[in-house]
Order: sequence, then structure tokens, then C-alpha cells
Amino acid sequence: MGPQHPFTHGLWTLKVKVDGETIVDAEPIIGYLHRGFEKLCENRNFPQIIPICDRLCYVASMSWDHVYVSAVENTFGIEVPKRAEYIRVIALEVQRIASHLIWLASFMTDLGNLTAFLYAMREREMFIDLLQALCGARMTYNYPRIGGVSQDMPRNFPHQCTKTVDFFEKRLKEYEYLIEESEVFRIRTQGVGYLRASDALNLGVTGPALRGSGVPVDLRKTDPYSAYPELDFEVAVEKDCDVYARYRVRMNEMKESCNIIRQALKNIPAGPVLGKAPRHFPRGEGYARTEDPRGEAFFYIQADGTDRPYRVKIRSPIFVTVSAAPAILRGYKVADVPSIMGSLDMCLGESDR
Amino acid sequence: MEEVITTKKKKVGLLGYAFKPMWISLRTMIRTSLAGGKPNTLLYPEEKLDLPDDFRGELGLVMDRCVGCESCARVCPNKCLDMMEDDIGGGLTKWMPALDLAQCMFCGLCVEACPSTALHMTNRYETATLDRNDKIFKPHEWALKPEDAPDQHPFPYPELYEINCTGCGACDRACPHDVIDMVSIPGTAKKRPNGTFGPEKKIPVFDYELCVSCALCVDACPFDALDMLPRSTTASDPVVQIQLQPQVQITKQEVSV
Repeated sequence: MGPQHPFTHGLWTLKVKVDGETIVDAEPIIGYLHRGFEKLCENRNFPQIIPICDRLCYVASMSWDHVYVSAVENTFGIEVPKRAEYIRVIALEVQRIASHLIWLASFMTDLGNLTAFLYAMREREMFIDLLQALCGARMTYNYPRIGGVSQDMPRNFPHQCTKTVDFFEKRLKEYEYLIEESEVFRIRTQGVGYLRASDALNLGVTGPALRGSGVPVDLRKTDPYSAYPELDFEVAVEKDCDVYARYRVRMNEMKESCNIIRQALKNIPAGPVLGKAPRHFPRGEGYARTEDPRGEAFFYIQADGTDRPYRVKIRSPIFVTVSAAPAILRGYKVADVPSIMGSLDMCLGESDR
Repeated sequence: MEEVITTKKKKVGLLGYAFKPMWISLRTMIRTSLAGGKPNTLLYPEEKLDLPDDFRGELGLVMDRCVGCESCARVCPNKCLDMMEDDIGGGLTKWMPALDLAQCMFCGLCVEACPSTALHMTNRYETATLDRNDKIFKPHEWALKPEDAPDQHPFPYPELYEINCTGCGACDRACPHDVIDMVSIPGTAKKRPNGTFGPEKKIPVFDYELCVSCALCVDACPFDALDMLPRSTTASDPVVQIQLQPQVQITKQEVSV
């Protein structure tokens, strides 16, 4: 199945070995979108890498910018102003909702629910507008800088943000009515795509897929970064281990993100948004890991004293999660493949790099 | 792989099967069409989105403001800016950036790097063309009128953090405009074992009247002792005199005596 099959969001192939209608074995084949990203980074200086980090994942650009920038900050010990940290958290959570909405939209098309697709894309537009007001671009934000963010938020942004979040929470209830109350959706998701917690941990699955298996690991809580330690929120966990559980985790996460945005807007301190970043970077190595909408994103940087990194390593959550596909798919019918793989939220930009 | 899956299926209610989803779609339909709501889409070529002021669209250059410092060309990740001599009218030419818009990725780093607010990202986003060569602009071809660009910010000028400075003179060698003079501080020479004195410590002194804010000295400094800070354009400005570091002024007087 793939790379031209309608259920593959992005360019990848799934080789499926079937016995009649039952899947015996599966093998995901990725790499069609390989752009030599890590090598590309070695030829650009540190600030110039930020805009190409946007291209890592075209659905959640902001979070990848943030991972890179915080990796550089950890490596060289650069301090970030408090206000910049809060603005980053707001931007990240808005990005998380937008990313989950595009997941919902594509997941619903896989299951044939086109109405929900249109609804989710409609609401995503509001969050894209928020990010556009913040940094001036719709998809490739290039917003965080080494030592802060590029510009302060517009004056009416908090008001606009609160309004959008309030409105969106009403819409989330509508989604639940539209999607969960449909028997067809229940049949296609409940009890399908069972991923045991032990399997998930052994295969390195992170993010909503792991939390859907009942393991409460969220780096925002377990290894807090940025301004998350000061914010009060809950980790969405479901114990059912199936597609429906992963769907519920993402829906709850969207709700929780709304909470975080509201809190951050309330507690945001005044002050500068961009600290002093050095022009010359010393020798050193460091990393940062954050909770991407898809799982644990990791950026490792080795600097050799020049203005460019000597080596960059990226751990993409989807690259690891897709390796669990055979374990999840085995034993189910071919017709369940779109529902199961859709629930993993594939994004090929980051996994092929 | 025999596995007992014990997922309890939650039942949807009696109204669940088709009524509730249909009710939501029906309500949305009434809300958007019959109850006077607007559709969420735009008829694109006729109607256009309202863009925020800082939207990152096509680049524009205000030729009057450009100081030819090459900061934008240095910072551009895709090397789409290149410096060239071009007419500014009245038989005069000036050193200004030319643009290859086909390579631009609209990151906006050049706009941030520009010390004189000469670069601005406009709200134009319809840049499609049939030929790639149509998108290579000489400086006067992508020029903006000053009215269309935002107000000019105060120029940033190099500022010395004396603690970091070792007096190596890298900034002096890098400066293209003779702004920087390395001035020795009297009394800082170390005594050698044989009784003679070593060289005195030197620090850079800036003549801000000549400076074009190109930041080459800041890039050249190996110890991060320099930083670009905004200040007003003339050094005689009272605000600037307060900001000037007292040590620098004192040494300047002593040297001139």
C-alpha cells in the first residue's frame, strides 16, 4: 500500500503480507522524502538553521524550531528571558492544537467522515491565524531565536487568543457529538490496533500512542522545560490501548492545551523577549528533548568552535513510532490498516529528514 | 500471537447512531447559511484575506535608507541577496543588494539584520511566474517608496563591554570605514623582570560619525566584547553622552593632550 494510496499521508509505503484478509506481517518503507537535513545543518551557521527547522515537520513547525533553539541554548548555556519562555509555551500549545486538528482531519478522511475533516480544517484556520499574528507567516514560522523569540506578541493577541480558545472548546464538544456518537466510528476504532504498553515501551513509541497505552509519560511533566514547571496541567492518559484510546488522548490533549494557553496568558510577566546571544560559539555539545505533538523530539548538537555545528542529530518521534507498525497491525484485517496507521499521526517530513 | 483483547466497548446511546451527528451537521448548516452567518471560505481572486502588518511577503528595499553594509547578504541562509552597484537617480550610484526572489524562503532574517530599516517584507504574496529569471531583481527593481515601509528605527552602533576586551585589534582590522581607533590606556603596562615596561592595554574607541552599523567589528571580535545597541544617530546627542562609557571618554582626552 502506498506511496500513492489514499491513506498514506505523505510519501511512504506499507508492505503488507496477508493471509486471506488477515495481516500476517507488515513492513513500513520510508525515505522518499530524505533531504539530507542533518548534513544541511553542518553547512549553515547557528541562526540560519532555524528557518530550515520549519521544514522538518510542516504540520508542527513551531515545536521543531523550539527543539533546535533550546538545544543550542542548552549547549552554550544561554539564558532566555521569562517572557520569551511564556510566549514560546503559548505558541507551542497553539501549534499543538493546530497539529492535532490536522491529524483529526486526515484521520477522519481515512474513516470516511468528510464532515469532520472540513470542521477540523475550519477550526485549524483560527489557530493558524493566531500564529500568523504572532510571527507573520502561516506555516514556516521562524519565530524562536537563540536567546528568546523574534518579536513580542501583538497588543491584541491575548484577547484574540482567549476568544479563540473559548470558542474552540465549544467546538470540541461538537466534534465529540459528531464523531464519537457515530456507531460506525466506534466499530472501526474500538478494539482495533491493540498496542500493549510493554510493546510500546520496548519499541520506543512515545507521545499520544504511548499515552493511549496507559503509560503516563509526557516530557512536559516528567522532564519539564521552558515555562512548563510553573503551569498546572494534567497528562491525558487512556488505558484501552486501541485506536479509540489514541483518539481520546489527542482530544483530551487539545482541551488541556486550551487550559495551558489560558494560564500562560494570565501569568505572563513583562520584560524583554530577546536576550543577548553570543556571536561566537565555543566548543561544546548538548541536546534538548521536548514533547512534540507526535512524541519525543530530540536534537543533539556538537559544536567545534566555529559558527557552524559539527554534527546534528535529530530523533524524530514518528520514525520510531512507525517501526511499531508490524506489532500493531499483526492479526487485523486489511480494512483496519487506514484506521490503525491513521491513529499514529504520520508525518514524513521529520522521519525522513 | 494469541491475545485476549478485553476492551469494554462503550455503547452509544439510542440517539447516537445517526441522530446526534446529523443534528450537528444540520445545526452548522443552519448557522452558516440560513441564520445569516458567513461561509468560512473566500472567493479567492476577488476577495482576499486581511493580513497582519508584519506579514512576511515579498521583500522590498528602501533605496534612500540603504547604507550598503552587506549585513543582509551575509545573514541570508539561501544566498539570494547579492551586492551590486546601481543607479539611485541623478547620475549617482550606490552599493545595494540585488535579490533573487526565486531562492528566497521568506525567513525574514535579513530584515532583522538590516541596521537602517531599509528592508521590509511587504504584504504581496502573489509571486508566481513562468520564468525563473523574471524573479531576479536589480536593486532599483525591487525598491519600495519610503512611505510604504515602516518608520526608520534608530541605528544600532557597536558598544564595548570592556571586561571581555583584550585589545587584540581584530575589530580595527575588520572595520571598512576607519571608525575604530585602538587607544592605549596609560598606566596599564606591566613591568617586566628586567625593569622595562611592556605594551599598554589597548581598547577600541569609536568615531560614531563615520560608522555605518555594518556589524563587521562585532562579527570579528573573538571574545564577544562588542554588541550592537541602538542609539540615536549623532554622538553629540545628550542621550548618547549618558550611554557612552566614562572610561572611553577619559582615555580619549588623555590621548589628545
